[in-house]
Amino acid sequence: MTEEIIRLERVVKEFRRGDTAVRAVDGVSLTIGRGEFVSIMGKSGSGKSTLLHLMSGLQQATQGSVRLLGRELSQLKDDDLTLLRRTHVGFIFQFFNLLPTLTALENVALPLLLAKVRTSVAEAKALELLKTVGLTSRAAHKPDELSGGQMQRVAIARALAGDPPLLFADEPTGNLDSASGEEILLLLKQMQIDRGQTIVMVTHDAKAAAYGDRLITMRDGRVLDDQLTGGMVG
Amino acid sequence: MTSLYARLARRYLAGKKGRSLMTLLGIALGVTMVVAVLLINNAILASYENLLSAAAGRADLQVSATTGFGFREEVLKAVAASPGVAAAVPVVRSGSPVVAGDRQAGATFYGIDAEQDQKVRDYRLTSGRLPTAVGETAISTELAGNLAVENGGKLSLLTTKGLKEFTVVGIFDAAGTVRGALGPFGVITLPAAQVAYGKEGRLDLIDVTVADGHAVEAVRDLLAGALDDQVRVGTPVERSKDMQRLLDSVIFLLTMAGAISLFAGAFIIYTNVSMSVAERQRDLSILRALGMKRGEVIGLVLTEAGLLGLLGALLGLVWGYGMATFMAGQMTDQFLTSYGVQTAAVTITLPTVAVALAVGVGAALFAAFGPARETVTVSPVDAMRPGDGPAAGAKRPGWGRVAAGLGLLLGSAVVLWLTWPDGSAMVSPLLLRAWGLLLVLMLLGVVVMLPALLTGLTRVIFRPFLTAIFGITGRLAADNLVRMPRRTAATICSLMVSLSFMVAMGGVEASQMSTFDAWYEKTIAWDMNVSSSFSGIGAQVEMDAAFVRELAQVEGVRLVSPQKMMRVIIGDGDQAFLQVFDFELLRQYSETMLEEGDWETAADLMEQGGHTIISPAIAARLKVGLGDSFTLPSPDGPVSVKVAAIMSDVTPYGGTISIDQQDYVKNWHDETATNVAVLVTPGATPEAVKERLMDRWGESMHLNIRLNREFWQELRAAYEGFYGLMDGLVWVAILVSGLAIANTLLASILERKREFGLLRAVGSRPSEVLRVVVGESLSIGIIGGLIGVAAGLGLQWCIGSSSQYINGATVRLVLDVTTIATAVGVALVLAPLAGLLPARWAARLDVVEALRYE
Ligand SMILES: Nc1ncnc2c1ncn2[C@@H]1O[C@H](COP(=O)(O)OP(=O)(O)OP(=O)(O)O)[C@@H](O)[C@H]1O
Ligand SMILES: [Mg+2]
Repeated sequence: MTEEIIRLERVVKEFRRGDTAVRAVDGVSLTIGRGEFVSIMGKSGSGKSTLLHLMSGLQQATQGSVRLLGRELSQLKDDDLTLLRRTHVGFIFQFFNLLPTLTALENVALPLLLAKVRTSVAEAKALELLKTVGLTSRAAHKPDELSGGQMQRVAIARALAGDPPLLFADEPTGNLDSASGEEILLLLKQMQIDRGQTIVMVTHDAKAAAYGDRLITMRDGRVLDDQLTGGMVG
Repeated sequence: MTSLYARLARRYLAGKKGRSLMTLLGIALGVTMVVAVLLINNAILASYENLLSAAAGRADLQVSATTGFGFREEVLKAVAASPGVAAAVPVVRSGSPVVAGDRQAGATFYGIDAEQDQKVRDYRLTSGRLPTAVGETAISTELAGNLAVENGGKLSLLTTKGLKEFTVVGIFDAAGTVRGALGPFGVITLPAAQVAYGKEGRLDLIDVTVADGHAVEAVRDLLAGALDDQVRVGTPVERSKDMQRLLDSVIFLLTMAGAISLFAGAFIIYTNVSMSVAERQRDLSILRALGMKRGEVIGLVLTEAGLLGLLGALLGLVWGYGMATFMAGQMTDQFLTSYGVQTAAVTITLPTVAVALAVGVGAALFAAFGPARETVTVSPVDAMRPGDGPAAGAKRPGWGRVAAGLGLLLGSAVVLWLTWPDGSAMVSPLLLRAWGLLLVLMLLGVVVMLPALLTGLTRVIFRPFLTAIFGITGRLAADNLVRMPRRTAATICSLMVSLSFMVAMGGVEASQMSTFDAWYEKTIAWDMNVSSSFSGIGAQVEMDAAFVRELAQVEGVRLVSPQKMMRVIIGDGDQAFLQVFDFELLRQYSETMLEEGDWETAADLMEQGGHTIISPAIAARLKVGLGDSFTLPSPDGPVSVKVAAIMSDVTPYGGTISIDQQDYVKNWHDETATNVAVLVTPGATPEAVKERLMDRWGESMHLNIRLNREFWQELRAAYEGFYGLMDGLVWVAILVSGLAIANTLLASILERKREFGLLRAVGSRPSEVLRVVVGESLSIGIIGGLIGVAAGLGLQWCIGSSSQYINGATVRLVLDVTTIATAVGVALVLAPLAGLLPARWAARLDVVEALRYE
C-alpha cells in the first residue's frame, strides 16, 4: 500500500432548503493513496462533484471525517484551509474559469503570486508549465483569444503551478471536442507518470474514465462500486 | 405582451429587492436635490414679488424715494396735479417694534390718508374702523394675536423719540387685506407716522391710479419727466423687478447648487439604472434567444426603468418638498429678512412636478437605453456564454472622446475667460445663468474624457502602485477598474461633482469669513453699538439727534459717533447701500479697509466734505475711479461727490457708498441715526456703561446694545446660517455619490462572482478578496477626490473672485485646508466604506456556489 493521502470516513453531506434536506453524499468511506489516478463516474446528481468538493476542502462535510494529507479538515479555520489548498491542491473545472484580465502566463502564475512568490520566479515557473502543456506561444494572450482546449490546458498548468501533490478535476473534458479532450487526458496521465501526481477526476465519459487506474462509481450519494482498472496508456 | 413585461419586470424588481431599492433611493435622492433647490428659489422669488406687488393694491404706478430717507411732501401735489392721474395716495412706512403689556412684536406700520388710501386698497375690518386721529391705530389680526390686544386696547410703537402709545380702533380681517401678504402690520394716520419716524414733511411712497382713457406708460413718462431724481416712477411690477436684483446673488448660489444637483442627480440615476440593466444582459439575451424581438427587449427594459424613475421621482418630490420647507424656514430665520423677505412659503407647482418627472423618468430612460440597445446588438450566444465577463480594455475609449471632452472643457473655459468681469461693469443676471451653463458644460467635458483618462491613469499610476503594495490582488483591483471604464468613470464623476461642490462652498465660506474677520478687526473698533430696536426682530427705528446728544453725557462715555445706514437708488437705477459717518470722529477710533487709496488722505478729504468712499461694485456700476465724481440723489436734488478711496465691502447688497455726515445733513435735512457707536473712557468697562445706558433708556427707547464681541458673533452667525444650509446640500450630494459607488461596486462584483470564487479556489484568503474590492474602491476615491478637489478649487476661485461683481461683497481668497482635508478624507474613507459591504459579500462567497453555472 502506498502512502495514504486522502481518507474519508462515513462522510455525509446534506443540503438544506427550508424543510427538505438533500443528501448529496451519504456515508462514503474511502482512501486514496499517493500517485493514484482515480476516476469517479455516476449519473447526474449522484454526488460526484460534491464528493470532490469535500475531498478538496472547498466544502465542509455535515458528518464524518475528511482527512487530507493527515489533517482533519473540519478542524481547520477558513484561512488555514485556504493555505492548505494553495499549497497542496490543484483544481481543474469544467468551465475553465480563467481570469479574463490576466494573460495565460499570469493566469498560470496566479496561485504562486497569491502565495507571495516573487514575480520573476513565479513567471519562470509558469512559462515552464505552459511549455509542458504546449502553449508557450500563447503565453501573452488573454483568455478570450484562446480556444476552449487551450483554455483548459492553461487551467491545468495553473492547477500544477504550486506543485500540489493532489490534483482534482471536475469534468475537465466536458466542454471540449473529443480530440482536445483526449489531449487533456493524455496530459493528465503524463503528469501522473512523470511527476507521481495524485489525480481525482470526475467524468461522464467512460473513455475518459479509462485513463485512470481506479474507477469509483456513485449512485444516490453512495459508492456503488470501487475497482482497480489498471489504467489505459496511450 | 404587456402582461408578460409586467410580470418579468415585477419578478426582477421583487427578486433583486436590495438592488432595486438602492436604484430607487438613488433616483429619489437625485430628484430630491433638484426639487429642493427649485422650490426654494421659487419660494424666495414669489415671496419677494408678494412683498412688493401685493402692497401696491390697485395702484397702476408707484412713485418711490431714491434717497433712502423719503422725498419732500410737495411731490404729492405735483403728482396729483399731473394729467392722467386719477388718485395720488401718500404713504409713509417703517418696520416697527411694538409693545403691549409684556408682549413685544415686529410689524410693518403704514402711515396713510384713510380716505385716499381706500381708492387703491380694500381694508376689511372684523371690528372697529380705520384710524382718523393721531394716537389711533388699526392692526392686523396676526399682530393683535402676537400682542394679545383687542379692539379698544392699547399698544406702544417704538418711534425715533421712544415709545409712543396708540389706541387700537380697528382690527383687520385676516384674509381680506392685500397688505396681509407681508406679515403682521398696522396702520396709523399719515401725520402720526411722519412724526413717529422722523419724517416730518416727507413721504416714502405715492401710489398712483391712472384715469380712464390714459395709457399707464404715457402717464409714467410724463411723471418721470416732471419729477426730479429724488423719486422714481414705475409700475409695481417694474419696482419688484428692481428689488429682485438684490436677491440675485442668493439665487445665483442656489441656482448653481441646483445645476450641480441636477447634474449629480441625473448622473446618479444614470449610473444606477444603467448598471442594473447591464447586470441583466445575460437574462435578457436568453429572452432574445427564446424569440423576443429586439424592440420588445428594449421595451421591457425601458418599462422597468420608467417605472423605477416614476416611483423615484414621486418619492423625490415629497422629500424635496420637505427639505425645501425646512431650508426656507431656516433661510428666512437666518438671513433673508435682511433682504426684506419675511416668509418664504414653499408650494409645489406644476413646473416643479414636470421637472421632477423629467429628471427622474428621463434620466432613468436615457440611462437604460444604452445598455438595452447593447444587449440587443450583441448576439445572444455571446452574451449567454458562461460569462468570463468583459475583459480588460475590451472597449477602449477612443481619442475622439478625449478630444471632444477637452474641447468642451477648454471651450467653456475660454468663454468664461472672455466674459470675465474686468471691473467696469457688474455681472448681469443673464451672464450669471450663462456661467451656470458653462459650468455644466465643463463637467460634461470631464465626464466625456474621463473613461480614457481613467484607462491611462490606471496603466501609468494605479496598476504599478497597487501591484507594488498589494501584489497580485492589487493588480487585479487595478485591472477591474478599467474593465468597464465608462461605468467606473461615471461613479468617479458623481464623487467628483459632490466633492467639488464641497470644496468650492467650503472655500468660499472660509474666504468670506477670513475677509470678514480682517474687515471687522480693522473697521469695527467701537466698544458698543446702540440702536433702538428689539433684538431678534428685524424692525428698527431711527434715534433722533437730541437723544444722541444725551447719550454723550452719560458717565463713562468718551465718544459717541452717530451713523446712518440706508438703501438708495443710484445713477444706474439699482439699489446701493449708503452709510453716513462723521469722519472726524470715525478716524479717531477706526480705519476703513481700503482696496485702493490711502486712508489718512481719504479721511482728510472726507472731513472736508463733498467726497465719498465707495466699494469696487459701485466703481464698476458707475464706471468711476479714484478722483472721479458722480451724483447721489437727495431730497434737495442731486449731490455731487468725489471718490476719495475704494474700500473693501463685506455686505452682499450690491455695493456700498460712504459719505460724511455734514454732506448728509446739509442735503437730506435729517439728523436721526440708525445706530450710534459708543467708546468708553479709559477707566470704564463697556459692560458697566452698557448697564448704565440700559437702566436709563432700556425701556423707554427700547435700546438694543451690542458689545463689540456680541456684534461680531451676530454677524458671523448670519454667514454661518447661510453656509450651514449650503453644507446640508453638500452632504446630501455626498451621500448620494456614496450610494453610487456602492452600487457600481456591487454590480461589478455580482458580475464577477465567479472570478472571486475562482480566486478563493486557487488559494486566496477572504481577506485578499476583500483587498481586491477595497483597492478598487479606494482607487475610485483617489481619482474622484483628486479631480473633485481640483475642480472645487477652480470653482471657488470663480465664485470668490467674481463675487464683488455679482453681489458686491469683496472676497479675498484663502486656501481652506480644513475643507480640502475633509474632502480628501471623505474620498479616502467614503469610497472604501461604500466598497466594504460588497467586498465582504464577495469575500464570504461560498466557493462552490460562486463557481456554479446556473
Ligand atoms: N448547493 C446545493 N444546494 C442544494 N442541493 C445541492 C447543492 N449542491 C448539490 N446539490 C444536490 O446534491 C446532489 C448531488 O449534486 P452534485 O452536484 O454533487 O451531483 P453530480 O453528481 O456532480 O451531478 P452532475 O453530473 O450533474 O454534475 C444533487 O441532487 C443536487 O441537487
Ligand atoms: Mg457535477
